Amino acid sequence: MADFRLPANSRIRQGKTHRAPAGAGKVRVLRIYRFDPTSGENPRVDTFELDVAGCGPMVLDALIQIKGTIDSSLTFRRSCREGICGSCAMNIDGLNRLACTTAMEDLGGGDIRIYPLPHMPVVKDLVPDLTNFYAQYASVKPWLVAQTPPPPDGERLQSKAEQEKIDRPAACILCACCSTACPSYWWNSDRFLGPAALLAAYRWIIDSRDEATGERLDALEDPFRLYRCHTIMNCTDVCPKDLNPAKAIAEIKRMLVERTS
Amino acid sequence: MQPTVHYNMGGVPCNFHGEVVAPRGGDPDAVVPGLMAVGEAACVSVHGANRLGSNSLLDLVVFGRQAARRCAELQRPGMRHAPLPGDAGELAVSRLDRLRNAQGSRPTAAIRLEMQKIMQMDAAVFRTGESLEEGARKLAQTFESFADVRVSDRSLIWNTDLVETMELENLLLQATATIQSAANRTESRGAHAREDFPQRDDEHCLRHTLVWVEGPGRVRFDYRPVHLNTLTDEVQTIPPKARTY
Ligand SMILES: Cc1cc2nc3c(=O)[nH]c(=O)nc-3n(C[C@H](O)[C@H](O)[C@H](O)COP(=O)(O)OP(=O)(O)OC[C@H]3O[C@@H](n4cnc5c(N)ncnc54)[C@H](O)[C@@H]3O)c2cc1C
Ligand code: SF4
Ligand code: SF4
Ligand code: FES
Repeated sequence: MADFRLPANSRIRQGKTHRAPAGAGKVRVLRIYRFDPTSGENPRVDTFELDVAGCGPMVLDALIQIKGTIDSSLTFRRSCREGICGSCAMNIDGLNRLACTTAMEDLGGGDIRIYPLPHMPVVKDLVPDLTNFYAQYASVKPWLVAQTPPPPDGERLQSKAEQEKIDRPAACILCACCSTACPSYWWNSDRFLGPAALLAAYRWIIDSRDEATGERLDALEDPFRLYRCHTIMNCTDVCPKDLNPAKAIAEIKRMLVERTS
Repeated sequence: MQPTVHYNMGGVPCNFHGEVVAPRGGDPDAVVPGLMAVGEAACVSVHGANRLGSNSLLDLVVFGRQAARRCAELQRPGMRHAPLPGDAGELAVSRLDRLRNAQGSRPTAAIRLEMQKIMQMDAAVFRTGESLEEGARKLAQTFESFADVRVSDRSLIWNTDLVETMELENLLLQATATIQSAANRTESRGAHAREDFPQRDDEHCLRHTLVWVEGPGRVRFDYRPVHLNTLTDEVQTIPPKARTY
């Protein structure tokens, strides 16, 4: 019989509860996944009753407030706090999103549940190990490949229309919300590149200045790297920058079909 | 709404090759061999006293490349490093150890918030000698209290409590350099807008401030002349003049 339970050391324990101070104003309850790799203990979920009077409106503000005033060992990535660096991606109330652009108000009045991005090895608390994700990104050679030297007196120019084609795909902040929301990626992240890396591949395939289109398509013509995408669309649903990796993947598939026919 | 930091003007003094300079033996542009800086951390001083929009990326690209060229010019394959002292690294490790095990009474975030409030209030966009002096005094106290900092995460894996504490120590040094230098510059120039000295004073203040932070509230100043001429005679040098727009 197949065993559908989590492995023993992945089971989540009940963690600590940090009560709101007496006389707290408006309280929000945050239930946050914790994992301390040095303790030898299973992960746990801590409950923080946070007085949000005097705290900023976003989930990231709450995390920073908790780290600053309740438990300084709470660990998460963050940098720009304005949705441009892609550091603070995490699973908030069941959806992958950026903590810094998710308003607590928009999550209703209930407990806010915060977990690391799903199906990734956890380094500590809300910090997943993104080594494989970055290696996959690097594998699509996300840079200009051209044999023709640039014009001696200037840059390689693009028309406005050519620039507009790559404008959106180039806006990806590599937050990994999409790839870690993709069931195909969960099962096959060792071989399927996932939506973020494929969107990056697409961005260079359609770049008018790039001269490696054929090689780029060759590299993707593989049952796993590209074709593990089954158009489930979770990626496009969760992208915090409103990008459409699923469509980019479909476009790459179309280009591959077209070049053989 | 409130103003936030977009760019830090000033930085490690550099020549246009990216080599760090420090005045020595009467030479204001003496190179510190082997030490380089580029980007926002550096001060090649192409921006004057107010970095204009988009010019920082320009600065990175131009001087980043320049620094690489300089390295290629100066370094030969197989060149040897100067021998390191036996206790090299001791300072860094002892700092890490001291902060990782810090058991004081003030959480990092509390000291940081205090510093942020002082800088926002007293070293704001428009400043006066009074606000700057007041801020410098308060900042020195906050800096003193760092000796009593508390870190609760002792682990060596992704310890952001420790990293934020190390960053805070750096920031306290930077804040001290910033506010003390601003108080010391009794004029308005570029982004430094003193309400008590609204005019630019080329006679006394057309110079770079060099600052050494020796501890909480303790700084030492020196100065370097500003390079006002281009390196070629392709264009005529334009003397500084008042910004009237
Ligand atoms: C919101 C905003 C908008 C901006 N818009 C523009 C613009 O439109 N045009 C423009 O020209 N400029 C703009 N700037 C300024 C410009 O972006 C920066 O000046 C420039 O990116 C600085 O680049 P840098 O490589 O020098 O430093 P950074 O990009 O800050 O890089 C420093 C690197 O060092 C790393 N680091 C720090 N400490 C350590 C350590 N101990 N060990 C190892 N690594 C470390 C950091 O992680 C970081 O990657 C903007 C700045 C901001 C904040
Ligand atoms: S469309 Fe493809 S890449 Fe996107 S979630 Fe679905 S299977 Fe994954
Ligand atoms: S496509 Fe969207 S969700 Fe995916 S990494 Fe880029 S910004 Fe994040
Ligand atoms: S902190 Fe940069 S995207 Fe959220």
